Amino acid sequence: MIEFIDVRKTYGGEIAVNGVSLRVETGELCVLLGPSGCGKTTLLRMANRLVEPTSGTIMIDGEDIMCSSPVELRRRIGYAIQSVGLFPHRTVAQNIATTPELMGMAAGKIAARTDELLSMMNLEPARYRDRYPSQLSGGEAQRVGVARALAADPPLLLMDEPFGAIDPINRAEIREEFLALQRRLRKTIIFVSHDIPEALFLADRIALMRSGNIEQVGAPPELIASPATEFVKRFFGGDRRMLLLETTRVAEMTIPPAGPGNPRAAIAAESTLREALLALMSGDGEHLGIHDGNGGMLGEITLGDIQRHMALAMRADGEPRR
Amino acid sequence: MSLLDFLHEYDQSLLIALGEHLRLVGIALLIAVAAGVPTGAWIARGEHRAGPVLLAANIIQTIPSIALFGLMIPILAMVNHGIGFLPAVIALILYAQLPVIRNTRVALRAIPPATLDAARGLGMTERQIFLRVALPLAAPGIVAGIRIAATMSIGVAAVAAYIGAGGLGIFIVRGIQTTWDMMTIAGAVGIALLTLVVEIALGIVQRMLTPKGLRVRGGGR
Repeated sequence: MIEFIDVRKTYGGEIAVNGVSLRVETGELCVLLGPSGCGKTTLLRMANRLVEPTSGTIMIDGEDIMCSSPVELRRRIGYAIQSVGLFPHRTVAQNIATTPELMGMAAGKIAARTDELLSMMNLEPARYRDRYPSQLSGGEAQRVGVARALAADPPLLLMDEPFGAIDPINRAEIREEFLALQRRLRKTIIFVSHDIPEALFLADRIALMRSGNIEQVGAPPELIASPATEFVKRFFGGDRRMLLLETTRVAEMTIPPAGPGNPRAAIAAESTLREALLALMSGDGEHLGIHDGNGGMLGEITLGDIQRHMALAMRADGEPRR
Repeated sequence: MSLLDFLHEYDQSLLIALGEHLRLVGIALLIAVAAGVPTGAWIARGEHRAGPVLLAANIIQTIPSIALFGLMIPILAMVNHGIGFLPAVIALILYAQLPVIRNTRVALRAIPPATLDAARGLGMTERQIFLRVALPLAAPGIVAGIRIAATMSIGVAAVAAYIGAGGLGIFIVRGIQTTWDMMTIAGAVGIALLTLVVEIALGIVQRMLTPKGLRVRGGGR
């Protein structure tokens, strides 16, 4: 768990971060989202003291980060950045081994850990461990960058647009892999992004920032359906209903029990409302079965159920609360 | 008398002169590198220092070597070394500063900021960042600067024969004084060959110090 308490950062007269308080729970992936210059990267970099706050407190698991030396602190926190910053003179394996080596882990253990991480990133160890960064594609380099951040198995990860420098197709793929990995590892992650679909896809919660302040914090559907300010509403653009369909999971709806007769089609409760809608429209039945992913049926929904959920969610038609 | 006959007759004195030349250039380069590389690293870290330091090194560069020797005679005469080895070494050290400092700075500044940011973010100390990341990546560029300094120093050392520092320049000086072309040519050819050999040797060093990761491209994809 990491907590920012009234954290400020000013450069001369310029305010970069204006008294931000934010708490990211253990195992949660929180995306700092916002236009460039909103202070999201500065906020992230204060967590491992690459930037020292002008005032305020940052606590990791209840301990003030100012109590550890910057070097000690950084070795305990994973760090991945957009331009990846792999060391060009070191092999993939040596890059991944950076933090474990600094911490004095035994060579045999490091080698095993490196291979484990490469496999985890869908990079075959035998093929990749001895390559140099110049021999990797953009997507492969980003995967190695994430592996390097995870190497010392830190409970907390700081990621500054780690998938920002690759083409859209590979980005979608690496994003899905990363989300699957995070569901398994349950790290506490602060993830900086300026990409709305990426934030909506990955975030447990989004902290939307503007000019040094957090405008709103909440789960993606919450920000879309009930924006706290005009800025939040405008930020997600015109088609917020569509975004809501894409970010809300069927499991979040009230699912009525299945009626008599089995529905012909069924999807998992983990699916989004958009997927449910498509399934309803392409199927010939009026009902769509919902299963829990392990063969158990949870109930069934109709087009009307989705409409009712959307109406409730967008109840105030997205008028800002303040 | 052919050049070969000349070389045969003067082989001993040519070897001695070559030894003096190498000693002069070698000692000057060692000191120049020991002073110039840290200075280059220092101005690479603080850009505001780069202007004055490079200006000073540039000004030194514009002084003709013969004038620099002349300037040092009265100063070093105070310690009884107005001419000879000491002023020659000092001049070579001063001339070598510009290529060494400039190349060190450029090589260090060419390292992508993201690489250094990642090193810091992963928990390296400033010392570890310099020794494990910055220096290996900058090494080829730094050696390139030393190469320039070395070839330049071999040439300037020839002029140092005028102030009694010895070396292959002696043959040129005497050849001119006695209008014996063969002697001048022998000295000039010797210096040219020496330059070539040193240039090639340092080229090999530069290649050896270039990390493998910077040499390979896209192989094995």
